[in-house]
Amino acid sequence: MVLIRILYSQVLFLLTGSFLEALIFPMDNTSGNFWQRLSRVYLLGWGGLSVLLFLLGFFRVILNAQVIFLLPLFFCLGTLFLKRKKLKQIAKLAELFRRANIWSRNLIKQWSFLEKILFLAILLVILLQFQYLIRLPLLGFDSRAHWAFKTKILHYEGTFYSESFYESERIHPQVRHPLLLPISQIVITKSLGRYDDRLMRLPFVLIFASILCLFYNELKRYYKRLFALGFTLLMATIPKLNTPGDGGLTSGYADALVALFFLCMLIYFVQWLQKGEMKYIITSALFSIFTILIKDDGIGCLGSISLSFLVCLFLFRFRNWKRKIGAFLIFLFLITVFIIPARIYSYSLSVGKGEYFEPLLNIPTIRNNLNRLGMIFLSYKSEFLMNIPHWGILWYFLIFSMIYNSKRWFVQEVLFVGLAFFFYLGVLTVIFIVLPWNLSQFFAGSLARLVMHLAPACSYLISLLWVNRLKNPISS
Amino acid sequence: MYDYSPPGGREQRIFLSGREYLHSLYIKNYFNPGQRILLVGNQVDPFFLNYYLYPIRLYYYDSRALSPEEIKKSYVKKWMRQKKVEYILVYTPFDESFYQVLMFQDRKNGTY
Repeated sequence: MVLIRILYSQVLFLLTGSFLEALIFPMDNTSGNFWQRLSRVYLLGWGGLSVLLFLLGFFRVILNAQVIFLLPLFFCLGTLFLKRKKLKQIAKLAELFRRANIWSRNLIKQWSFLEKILFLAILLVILLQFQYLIRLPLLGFDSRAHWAFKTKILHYEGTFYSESFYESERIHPQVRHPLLLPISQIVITKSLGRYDDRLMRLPFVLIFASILCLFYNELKRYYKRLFALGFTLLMATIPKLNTPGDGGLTSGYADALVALFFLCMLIYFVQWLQKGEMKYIITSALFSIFTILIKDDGIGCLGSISLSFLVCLFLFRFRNWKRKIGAFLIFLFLITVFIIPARIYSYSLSVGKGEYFEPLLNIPTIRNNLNRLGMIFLSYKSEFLMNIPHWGILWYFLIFSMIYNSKRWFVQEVLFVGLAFFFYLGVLTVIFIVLPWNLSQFFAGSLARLVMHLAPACSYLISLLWVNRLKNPISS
Repeated sequence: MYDYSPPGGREQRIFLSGREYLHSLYIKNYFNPGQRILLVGNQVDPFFLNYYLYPIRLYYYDSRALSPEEIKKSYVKKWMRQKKVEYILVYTPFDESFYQVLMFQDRKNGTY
């Protein structure tokens, strides 16, 4: 019964995702293969349903089981109604499914031994995450006191306008964190009919698997299967992402999701830069909305991508720069429309203001705290280069790849992703400069978690750097 | 876990060993969902308690007080009336291996 209820909650995400997919992507071969579409449908559905529930909650609708269950069905009917003239195309979906040939022996037979090993290793990583999810309860401080506590309140009270959020004497640290993650988790707890802090983390693993699939398919545009699988494995096995403890994927923290969605933002933005089609930048905008509504750090991700785009625009002098700027403004507008309610809600809370750094983000504070820079860079050095248990060879591999493939630095997509990577590191540095807390204590508990936001993007940057040397014979 | 006084008494002193999760479960046994508790902390980080005790409503006051007598002073009493708090829990580390929970029940007139 539990399995059926869990499956039902995932179907709710998939129904919403299908609606968004149908709106954005045409039903043809240009939108990717079956697995790529399924992954995207899940990711868009997870975020889309959660954003919509947040908006309903913002307008004081109680988020009870009826609302959560009926909403995706309306989406399903809405999709059918809007696309009634194209109903024939739905048959194409079945054809796509058949053509995907997902369980065919021949498909696997085409793979070399090494490819099979790499694929099995990736599967093993995902299974390991499932095992953590089922075996371990919530262990980290933030996962219980911040994230799961919000989920618990929303599960029992169905609203974020309750005393639990608004009263200062209630114990509720970081009350102004965005609510997308807790809201997405109540879809599962409501489907289960009870609060369950193990199973509600299921989407973490499914999102991870979906993003690995998207990442692999993105790399397949540049590489043959072996190298695409190799780089996907590099991303899948980032030790910090895989740890069940503080900040890992199944730990219940939001940071792993920020890291993974930052990668999605980059992937679709790069596709838009290369192909110029609106569907890619709209998808990137949706992932940006999800990232910002998961955690405020998403604003840093968006800022770094925007800055990186502007630098690329200046350096490469795109021929159709007016169209590019127009599309970019639509991208920013779309994001702004969806994050405004979250900001209004956040500012309506009179509590918890002392816990945040935004009021300190001004020039005098930055100037006064510049003496922290030495400590920050020393901490970066020990985190990036000395902390092998957290990162394995990831950062060393990045340095090596950058030196060895220095000729590719100024290739459009490499420069864009590289700049976004370093701008985000800059954003983190500025935040560390103004933080109101003791920096050494903060670094001891949180630096690795925040650096993790960059790790999947780093894997992407590495893989883009090697394109010329390990070229895909098919695309070349 | 050791209970040093019979349940139902006005003041109850409980010593808890083990990890935070066990503490929460033990404390939770004494209350019903929706009841209001004031947690008076001293050198403790009580946020996890709130997670496990919810939907029992937990308020927090960092007293810095070292004795129950200091805690019983008027500020807490006044606050109990304002928030309609029924119980006060004093949660302090007793020694390296035990936490001490003192539990006071409020009377109708708001005194102990």
